Amino acid sequence: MLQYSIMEKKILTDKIFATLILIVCFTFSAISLYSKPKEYKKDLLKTNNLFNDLSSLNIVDDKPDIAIIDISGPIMYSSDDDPFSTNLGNANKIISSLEDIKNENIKAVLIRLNSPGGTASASQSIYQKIMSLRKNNGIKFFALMQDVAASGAYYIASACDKIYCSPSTITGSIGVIMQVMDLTSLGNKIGYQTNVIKSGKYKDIGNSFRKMSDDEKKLLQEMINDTYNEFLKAVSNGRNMDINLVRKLADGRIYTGNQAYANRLVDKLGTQEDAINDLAKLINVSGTPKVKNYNKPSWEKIFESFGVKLPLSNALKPIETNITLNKIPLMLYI
Amino acid sequence: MDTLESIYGILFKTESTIYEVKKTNNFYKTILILLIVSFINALYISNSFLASIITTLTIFISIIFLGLFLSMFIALGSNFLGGNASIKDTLEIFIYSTLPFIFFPIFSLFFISKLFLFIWFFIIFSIGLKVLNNFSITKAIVSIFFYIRYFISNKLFTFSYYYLIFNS
Repeated sequence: MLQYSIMEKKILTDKIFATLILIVCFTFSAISLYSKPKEYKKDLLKTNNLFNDLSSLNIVDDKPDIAIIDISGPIMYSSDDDPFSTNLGNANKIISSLEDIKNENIKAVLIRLNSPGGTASASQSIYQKIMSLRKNNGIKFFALMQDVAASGAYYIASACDKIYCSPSTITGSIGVIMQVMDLTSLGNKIGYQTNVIKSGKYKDIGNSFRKMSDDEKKLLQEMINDTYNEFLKAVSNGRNMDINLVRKLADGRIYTGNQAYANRLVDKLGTQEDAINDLAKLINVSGTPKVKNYNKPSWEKIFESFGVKLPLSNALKPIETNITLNKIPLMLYI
Repeated sequence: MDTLESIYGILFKTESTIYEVKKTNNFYKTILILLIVSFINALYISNSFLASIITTLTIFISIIFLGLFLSMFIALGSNFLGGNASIKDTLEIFIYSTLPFIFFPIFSLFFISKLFLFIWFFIIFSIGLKVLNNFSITKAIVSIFFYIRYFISNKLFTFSYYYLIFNS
């Protein structure tokens, strides 16, 4: 009979528990894998956007009637050639997708927006691209706002021919914001100081480790006002609204879909199907229009050909979106 | 200390296990543990066995990349607070902290909130950093949040058409 010391018994018990835990976890995972219904598996292989297109949309791989572009998360410029990028707010990629759409002579685009906004320059560039394609190429653009389409996302939507949203979409927030942290007290507390040698008075404007002076605040406020006026002009042109009316609505507040509709900031309260069907009628397409998503991350496209929902996107999302202060209020029916 | 012991120890006897693991310094064991976590989750989310193999690799690679990225800043933060951990050691601790996610399929199937798993991850990570750097648990927690501070103070000095809500 083997004699075990107390220590050895303890180690043996730990190993047995660990083995049991692993066996149970593997079993549950395997049960989950083999119990997925066949229809679900077929849909995973067929559709190119798991969460939005498991519906009646006719998704194709060749030339579609309507192109779909998703704009999700913070809108900003990011590197074009990053193979792991899953950022659907990458302005370079969005503009490049719009260029592809133009080159393929596609006549209608649905922009799906689910974003709290982004940088001013990225939003402006996408807006300009849409306006240019509308004017020079006659492409019809509809915007569909989903959970949130505020600020920079609204800037982009205002370039479209029509805007659709649901009654509880959060939109609006027409305005500009800049934040500079004041860490002076923290620095004093922990004994952290910076020595700044600069060529000009305003070179270290926004330095977190000293108080901002009044003239610096004034300077930044002028810049904010300038950018704000650009926003007002863009919305006024895009929506064919008087700029003074836009200014009244643009105090930075958010609106529900219902409120936005009442104030003419959006054109219709409707679903994705409504937007697609109306767009199809506009370009004289009969029956179910063929649609295709134009700015999926390239790695997702590769892996979805294996029927794999890419978890890479989810793991890398925190890196790409960590500049937001991630507190977006959502109204839920729970 | 072998892999099975380490798995049980990290989940239920974190501090003493990490002391032992720190002594032996076996990175291959860390990789094996990560493969186990990846494979269990891959089986759950995939729709075929072949797909689960590919998904395992993608989960594995994404956790390595994410961990490496976070470890750079967290190691910086912990060094700033008086610790002496390297990026590689911090990455190891990060990988060990993902062990609670082997219960992800069970929690999902029984509709139990996965928040508990994230809290468990955070606790293991904090204790791991504390042991690694030989400082207090408070400093360990602060060094985890150090990387968020870096991004907030450096990245928000741009014009933003942003809708932001601040909660306290």
